[in-house]
Amino acid sequence: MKPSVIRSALLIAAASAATSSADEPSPSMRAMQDELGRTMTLSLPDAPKPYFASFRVVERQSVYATASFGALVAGDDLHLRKGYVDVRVGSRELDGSTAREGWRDWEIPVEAMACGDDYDAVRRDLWSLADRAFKKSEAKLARVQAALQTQATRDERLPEFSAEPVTKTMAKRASVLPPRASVESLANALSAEGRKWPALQSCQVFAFAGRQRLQFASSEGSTADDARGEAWVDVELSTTALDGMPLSRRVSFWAADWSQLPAIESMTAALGAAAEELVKLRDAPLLDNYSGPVLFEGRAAAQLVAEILAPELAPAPEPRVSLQEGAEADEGSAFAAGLGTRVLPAGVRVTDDPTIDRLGAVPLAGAYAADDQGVPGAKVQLIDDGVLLGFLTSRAPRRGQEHSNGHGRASWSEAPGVTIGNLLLSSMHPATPSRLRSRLIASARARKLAFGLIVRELSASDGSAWSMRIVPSYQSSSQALPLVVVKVGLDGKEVLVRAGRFRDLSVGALDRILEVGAATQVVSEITPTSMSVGAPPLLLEKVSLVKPAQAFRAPPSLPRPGDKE
Amino acid sequence: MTPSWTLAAALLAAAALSCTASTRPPSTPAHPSRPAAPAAPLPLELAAPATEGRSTPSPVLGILRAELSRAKQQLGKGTSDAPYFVEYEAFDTRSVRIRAEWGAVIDSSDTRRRMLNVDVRVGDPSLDNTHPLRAGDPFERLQSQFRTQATLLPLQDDPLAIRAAAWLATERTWRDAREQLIRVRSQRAVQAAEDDPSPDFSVERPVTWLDSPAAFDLDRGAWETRLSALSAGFARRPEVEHAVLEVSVIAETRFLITSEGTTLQLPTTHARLSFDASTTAQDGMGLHRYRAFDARLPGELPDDGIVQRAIAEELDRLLALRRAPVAEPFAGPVILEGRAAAVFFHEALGHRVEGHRQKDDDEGQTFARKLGERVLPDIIDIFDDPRATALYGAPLNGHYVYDDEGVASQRASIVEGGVFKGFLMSRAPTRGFFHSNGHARREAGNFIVARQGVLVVQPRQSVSTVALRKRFLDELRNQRKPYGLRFEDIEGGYTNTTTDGPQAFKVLPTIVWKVFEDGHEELVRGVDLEGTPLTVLASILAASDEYSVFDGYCGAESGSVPVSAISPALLLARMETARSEQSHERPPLLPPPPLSRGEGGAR
Repeated sequence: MKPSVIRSALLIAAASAATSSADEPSPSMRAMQDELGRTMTLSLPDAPKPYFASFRVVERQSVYATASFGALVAGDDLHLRKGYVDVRVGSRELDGSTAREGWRDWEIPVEAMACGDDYDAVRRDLWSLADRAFKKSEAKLARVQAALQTQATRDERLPEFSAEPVTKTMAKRASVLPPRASVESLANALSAEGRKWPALQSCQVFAFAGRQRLQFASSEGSTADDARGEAWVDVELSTTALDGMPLSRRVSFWAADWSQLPAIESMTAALGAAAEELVKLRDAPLLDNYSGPVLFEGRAAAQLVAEILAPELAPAPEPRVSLQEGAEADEGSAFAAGLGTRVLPAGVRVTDDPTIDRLGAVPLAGAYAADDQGVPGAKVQLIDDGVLLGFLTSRAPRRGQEHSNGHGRASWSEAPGVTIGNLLLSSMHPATPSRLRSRLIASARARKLAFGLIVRELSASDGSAWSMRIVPSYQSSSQALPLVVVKVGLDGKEVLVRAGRFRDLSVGALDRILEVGAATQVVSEITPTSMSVGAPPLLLEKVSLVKPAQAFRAPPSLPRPGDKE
Repeated sequence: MTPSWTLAAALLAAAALSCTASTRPPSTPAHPSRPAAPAAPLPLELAAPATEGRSTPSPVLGILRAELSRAKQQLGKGTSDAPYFVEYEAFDTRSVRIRAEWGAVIDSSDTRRRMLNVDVRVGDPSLDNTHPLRAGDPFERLQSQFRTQATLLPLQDDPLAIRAAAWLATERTWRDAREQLIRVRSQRAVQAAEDDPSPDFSVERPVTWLDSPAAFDLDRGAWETRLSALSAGFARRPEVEHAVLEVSVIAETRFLITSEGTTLQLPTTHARLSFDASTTAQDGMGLHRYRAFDARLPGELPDDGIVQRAIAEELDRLLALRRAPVAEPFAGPVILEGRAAAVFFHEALGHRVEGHRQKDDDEGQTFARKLGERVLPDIIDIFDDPRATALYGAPLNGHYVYDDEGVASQRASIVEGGVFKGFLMSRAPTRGFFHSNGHARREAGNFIVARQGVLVVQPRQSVSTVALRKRFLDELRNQRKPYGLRFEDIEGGYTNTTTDGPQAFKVLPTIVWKVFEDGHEELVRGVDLEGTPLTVLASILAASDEYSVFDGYCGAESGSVPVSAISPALLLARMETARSEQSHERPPLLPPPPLSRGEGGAR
C-alpha cells in the first residue's frame, strides 16, 4: 500500500499569480545556475564524478525584541543569508549520503553568504562551498565503500537518492516587516501584564517578525523560489510552588505576517488566563502516583502528538552502512515494520499538509511551496482509519516509498532531514466534549479509581516551558512533564493538581485511544524550522503518572520586588 | 586539562599598532649596530590615578543598589546562612558588527544587552564558599566552577523589571553559595590540613568612581558601503579562498556595586577593523593572514588608503606562504620578534603567576615557591600594569581602571632583574600576598580569577635590532647550527597550568623565517613553538630596544578578557619547534568563477 500523496498545486499557483516578475531570475538564482554547470565538472583522479548538485540559498530578514515585566531586554534587526550545497558522487544507488558518521555529520557545507543579491559574491561563495561539498562527498563515499567490503548489509538495497521530476516552484507571498519600534512596543506592553501577578517570577515576551526567501537550483534543472513571512509572539511565564517545584508555561501566537497576529487585547487575555492558572497551580496539591484514563485536551493533545507521534512519522533515512564504531543501532520508527497495518485505533486519521496555511481560522506555521531539496511540498495521508499508509520522506528513499513527498526540510543551518510541516490528527467519528468527559469518568470507575485525569498543558523535562522538537528516534518515550492537570471526580468535580512526571509515555499509549474529540488545537514552532501540529482532545485508556523523584530546591525566600519599592 | 589558553585567529589575532617595523621581513636596519646598553625608558602612557568619580550615576546603579541592600539585609537574616558579601556587576554593552566579502555585506548588526553577574559569599573571609575544593571529585570541582551564570537585565531603567531579574539571580546564587560552603567545610573536616592557610577574601577599601557611560557614533550604512567597496578587491586574487573584512565596535559600561559600599561606573570603548584571508597550500595546509587595526572609537580607525595597503601586504604574504616550504622540527637559537615574544611571555609566564593558581592543589604552581629566586636572566624585568593606556600613542586593549572586584588597577611586579617578585592578585589571598593588586577579571557570565591586563617585558639592557641579529648569527656559529629561526608574527598560543598535563606552552607562529649563517632568510610555514617555561625562560640571551604590542583577547576560567602584552625582540639560545597540525585537503579544484564585473577568476 502506498501513502496517499496529493500534490496540491493550489497554494503554489495562487502564490505565483501574485508575483509580478516571476520570469526574471534573481542575480542569486543566475549565480546558482551558472555555477552549477562548473560544479558538475569537479573531478579527482580515479574517483567518481558528481551525478547531482544543488544549491540552496536562504535569506532571512527579521526584527525581534525580548521584554521582561514591561522593559526591553534585547532587540535587533537582522539580515542574513546562508548557502548550502549538496554535491553527490557515485550514483543514486550508492553515494554514501545515508551513512552516519557521528561528528563528521556536523561538517555541513553551509556558510554565511553575502546579502544583497550580488551575483559575483554569491557565485564566489558557492564555488568555495561546492568544492568543500564535493571533497566531503568523495571522502565519505570512499569510506562507505570500504565499510561495505567488511560489513554485512541488509539484503534489500535501497537507492540512496530518489529520482524526482523536474519542477519549477515559485511562491512569493508578500510579507512586510514592521518597524523595530512596533515589535519592541508589543513585547513591552505584553510583558508588562506580568506585573499584575506578584507570584510570577518571570514574564518574558519574545516578539519576532521575519521574512524568508529560499532559492534552490539543481543540476537536474529544478528550481524553487519560495518567499514567505512569519510573525511570532511567545510569552513565557514562570513561578515556583511552595515545595520548590518549578512551574513554567508558554503562550504563543503565530501568523504568516505581523499584521495578521491577534489583537493585543486578545493576546493579553490569553496571557492573563495562563498567569491565573499558573498562580493557582503554585498552591495546588501534589498528585500521588496514578495509573488510569487520561484526557489530553487543549494544547496538551497537540503537544502529546508532537511528542510521541510526530517523531515516528518522520524517521531518519535508514543508513546503508554505519561508519560510527560502537554506535548503537538506530531503532528507527516504532512503526517501521507496520506499513499497511493498524498503528492507531480505527477512525483515526493523520495527515501532513504543507500546502495549507490555515486550519479554519487558525494559522499554520508549516506551510511551504518547496522543501529544502526543491521538491514541492505535498499533502500526505500518513494514517487512515488507524492504518499506517506511509511516512514523511525526503529524497532518501525508504522501503516501499521510493520518492520524496516534499518533506526534506532543513533548519537554518543544517542539512535537510525529514521534518513535519503541518501534522494534523483527526477522527472519522469525533466525540462531543460531554461524551469525552463521561467516558473518562466511566473508565475511571471501571478501574475502581476515585477520579480520572485531564491534562491541559505540558512543560519541558526540566520544568521550563514546553517547546516542540523532533524527538530523536532513540528516545522512545516523551520526557515532557504534565503541567496543568485536573482531577475529575466520579461526581464530575474538578480539582487542579500538580503532577510529577509521566512513566514511559511513548507512542504505544496511543494504541489505547478511547475517544477522539472534534475541536482541534494547534501548537506551532519556528525552530528548528517552522511547523505546526494539530490535534483534538484525546482520551487515552491508561497513562501512568508518578510523583517527582527528587526534592526540589526551596523557593525564593524573599518576595518579588514590587512596583512601589 | 587546559584551563587557560589564548584564543587564536579572530579573537586573538593581533593589531598592527606601533609595531610594524619589528613585524616585517628584514629590510634596512633601524639602528646601527651597538653593544648592549641600558635600555631606554618604555614610553607607556598611564591613566590618571583613579581617585574621585566625576560623572552622574546611571539610574541602574540606584535600582541595583536597592535590590542588593534588600538581599544583604534580609537573606538568611540572623542566621549563619546570611551572606557576608554581595557584589552586583552589570555589563551594559552596545556592539556593532559588520562583515563584508567579495564586494558585498555578509551581515550587519547593532545590538545592546545588559548582563548581570551576582557574587554572594557566605561563611566569613577566612573560609567561604569560594574556597577551592581539592582534587578528588573533579565533577564537583567543575560544577562549582561553572555554576556562575549571567542574567539578562532589561535595557530600560525600569525598577521592577531590573530588580525582579536581580532578585532571582541573587536567590539562586545565594543557594548555590550555601551548598558550596557545606561541601567546602565537609572536605576540610575529613582531609589533611592545606599547605596554604591564607584566608579566602581580602579586606580592601570600598571605592566610588563614576565615569560617563560608554558611547560611540557610527553611521552603519556608510560603513556597510565602505567595507563592501574595500572587500571587492579580494576577488582579484584567484588563490584567495576566503577573505572577510570586518568592523566591530563595542561600548561597554560596567556598573559594579558591593555590600561594602563600592560603587563604580566604568566605560570602555573599542573599535577594530580587521581583515582575515585564507588559502590552501598545494600540500593541503590551510594558511591565513589576519590583520587588525584597533582604536578607542570608530572615527579613529585608519583611512581606506592605509587599509588597502595593509590588505595588499597581507595578501602578498599569504601567497608567499603558499609557496613557502614546510619547516622541519628544530631545536636551536631563535629570535622572537616583539609580538611573538609578548605572546610567549603571556603563555609561558603570565598564566603561571595568576594568584589563584598558587593555592589550588590541582595547579602546577610553577612559581609558587620561587619568590626571591632567579628565574630569568638578570637583564629582564616583567610587570603587569593595566593602568597603561597606550604605547607609542596607540591604545592598549588590556587597560582598565578598576578590576571586577572594584580594586583599582595597579602595577604588579613579577620579575625584577631576573628575580621572581610576585603574583597577579585578586581578592583571593595566597601565601605572603594578602591584598589584591587589581587583577581580578572576568567576562560577563563567569566567576572572577586573577588575570593578566597589560603584561610588559622590559629589559634592563638592550641592543639594537641589527646587533641582536648579529648575536643571533654568532650563536648559530657557536652552536654549529646551519640555520636558526626568526619568529616574526604569531596568531596566538595556549598553555596548560594544571597537574593533569605537562607544564608546557605552545605558541602558534604564522610568519617564520629560516635564517642562515650568512644572514639570508627563507620564509617557511607549518611550525609551532613549544616548551616548558622554566627551561626556556632561562635561555634568553639578549633583548632588542624596540617594543611591539600584542593586543588580543585571552580565554581562561573567567572567560575571554581583553589583554595586551608588550615585549622587545628576544634572542634565545635554544627553543624547540614542532610541525603544526595541518589538514591534507587539496586546494580548490576549480579556479574561482569569472567576475561579471570583468576582473580576475576563470575565463
